[in-house]
Amino acid sequence: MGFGAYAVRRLLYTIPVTLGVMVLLFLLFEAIGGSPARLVLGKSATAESIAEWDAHNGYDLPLLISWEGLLRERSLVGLFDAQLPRYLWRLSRWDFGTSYVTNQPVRRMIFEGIIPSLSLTVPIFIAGFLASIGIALMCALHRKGHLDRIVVFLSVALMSIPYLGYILVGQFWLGYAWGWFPIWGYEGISHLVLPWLIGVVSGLGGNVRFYRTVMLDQVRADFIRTAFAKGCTTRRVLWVHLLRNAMIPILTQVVITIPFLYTGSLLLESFFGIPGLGYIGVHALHTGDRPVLSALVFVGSLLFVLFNVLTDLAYVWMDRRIRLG
Amino acid sequence: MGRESSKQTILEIRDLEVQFATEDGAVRAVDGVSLSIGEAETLALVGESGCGKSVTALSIARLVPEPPSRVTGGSIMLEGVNTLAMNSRELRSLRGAKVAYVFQEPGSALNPVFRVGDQIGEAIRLHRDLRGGAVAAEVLRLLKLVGIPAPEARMREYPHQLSGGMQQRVMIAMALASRPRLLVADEPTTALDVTIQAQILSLLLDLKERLGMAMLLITHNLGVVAQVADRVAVMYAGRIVEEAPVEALLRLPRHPYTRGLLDSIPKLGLGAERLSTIGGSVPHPGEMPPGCKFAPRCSIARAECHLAEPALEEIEPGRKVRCPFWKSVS
Ligand SMILES: Nc1ncnc2c1ncn2[C@@H]1O[C@H](COP(=O)(O)OP(=O)(O)OP(=O)(O)O)[C@@H](O)[C@H]1O
Ligand SMILES: [Mg+2]
Repeated sequence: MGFGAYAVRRLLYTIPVTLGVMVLLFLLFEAIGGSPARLVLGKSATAESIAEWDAHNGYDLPLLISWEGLLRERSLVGLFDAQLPRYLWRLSRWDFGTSYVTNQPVRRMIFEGIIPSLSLTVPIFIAGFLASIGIALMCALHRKGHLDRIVVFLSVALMSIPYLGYILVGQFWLGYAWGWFPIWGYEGISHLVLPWLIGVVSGLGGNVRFYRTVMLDQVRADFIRTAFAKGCTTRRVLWVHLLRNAMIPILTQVVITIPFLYTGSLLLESFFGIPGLGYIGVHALHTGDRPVLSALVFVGSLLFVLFNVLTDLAYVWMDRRIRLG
Repeated sequence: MGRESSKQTILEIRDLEVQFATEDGAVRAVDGVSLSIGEAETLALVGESGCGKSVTALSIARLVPEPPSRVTGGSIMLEGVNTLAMNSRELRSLRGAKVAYVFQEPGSALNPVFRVGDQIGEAIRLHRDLRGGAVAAEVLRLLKLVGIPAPEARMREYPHQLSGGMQQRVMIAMALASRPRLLVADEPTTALDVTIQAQILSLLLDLKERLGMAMLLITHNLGVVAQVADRVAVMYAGRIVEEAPVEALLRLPRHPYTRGLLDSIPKLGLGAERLSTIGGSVPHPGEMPPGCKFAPRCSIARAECHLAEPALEEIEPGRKVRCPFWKSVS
């Protein structure tokens, strides 16, 4: 089987998975939760106003399929006049309804929140990735040397500091005491530098350790000796021969973390007042804002499914030894 | 002597000493090895596993990782230039250009993620001024030279798509990319099927003749030596114990260790049960006996053998033995 056919097959495979995710979301958020009318209308709502709200929002319909609808309409279309089919139909048109709290369309809230989230997480991801790769390559070159030992020690040290510790220390010293960075708000690049820094440094230890292990594994390989024996420069051996092989295990681990960039960083956004999706999500959780939560989970799951496939494809693309079948 | 001196010396290793830093201190893997290879000559380096053949061979182009290794003495002259004194830029223009290597496991010596044509192409670009289409044409020529059928298709394949024999041919093509003066083949057939081994050997021999290269061939296999080599050096525990022209050595070995090696080759018509092996094992590098390193396993060893290490003696022109009792070896 060729790569193209394999890619198409893997992508088609996402359709049933996505459908399953949607059904699961319905069961979790709608079927189990029941009608949110009381939450939306407040404690003073009368039984009539609740019934009216339910009817208006379709919560009076049967859950999965509608036999009455079938009899009424005398066609199969009537069968789908139930909560689940309507929910699936809305989701597949990216219609996530209106927030119970802000009364804004949820789709717009997500679009507005995604920019701050990505402007926070994407630079952290890229800078952290490049820095870790560079440091790990350096370790591979000087394995068992002083530099390597220092890097391993620092990585473990960095890993053992809790995330909150980075935030508190960063905000207190770099932000408050020395006044280098603002610590609250989302007004420009200057407001993002400190959270970027914290995000990169806090993730560095774990990444460097993992990448270093992968690189040390590869640097002992025979083909590295062959590359040196051909007369390649050290730089070429590392950046071409070593990295290209090390990228196979590294990418499979890294690509799958990309969907999480969209949810932003819960802690960083809360502590720095960045109005991203992490912030919005926490707020929705506190207020029971069901449409916002289910939309966040839905988009997150879609991205996860998609990047899972991309990981597989990248893996196969990079490692030609894998047989497709 | 006369035959040798008429030819130019390509490689001259003198008193090479290589140490490894290990947990139990420094270990001397190569201890005072001297070798020379003349123009278009094939020298076979034989000996049991771990005796220092690869370290010696890799030292020529300084390919033993430093650390843990360190060259602590000697000189390696390649066409009159000491490679041990070269800086990294000089080493790069030596590696793959003047001295090229073919390794034991072609399957892992080739980079799994690049097409074989590109890997050969890289070797060409590194040392020659060819670019673009000329590189591709040269890759094709090299693949044909090493006898790979349908080279146009093969060059676009990845190493795992080729058989072991074809992979080794690719390695050889890569080694020939810039017409090296010296080809170092470190057990080039050990990892291959028996039927393929003979093909690869005769290919190496044929190429060596046609291109006029000198060759250092490392092997455990004295059968291979008989077929290919002009001269043989036998290593034991980091030292040369015997060196001789190939026919002379095979006909009449002078060191007890060489005798043992010859006796352990299966011969046609003799059952495997008649095969003798050398008793005991190579001394651990950390626990070298004070005298002759082979004495603990030697059938003709005397008391004095355990006290002082004998020197490598020239017993006739072109023949050296590190055993004062070589006359008793038969
Ligand atoms: N990376 C290393 N670290 C420590 N010691 C090493 C290392 N590589 C080689 N040595 C030492 O050098 C000695 C010689 O190794 P070498 O690879 O040259 O043996 P060899 O004769 O090529 O054996 P083989 O036939 O198995 O290839 C070994 O016995 C070992 O003690
Ligand atoms: Mg070896």
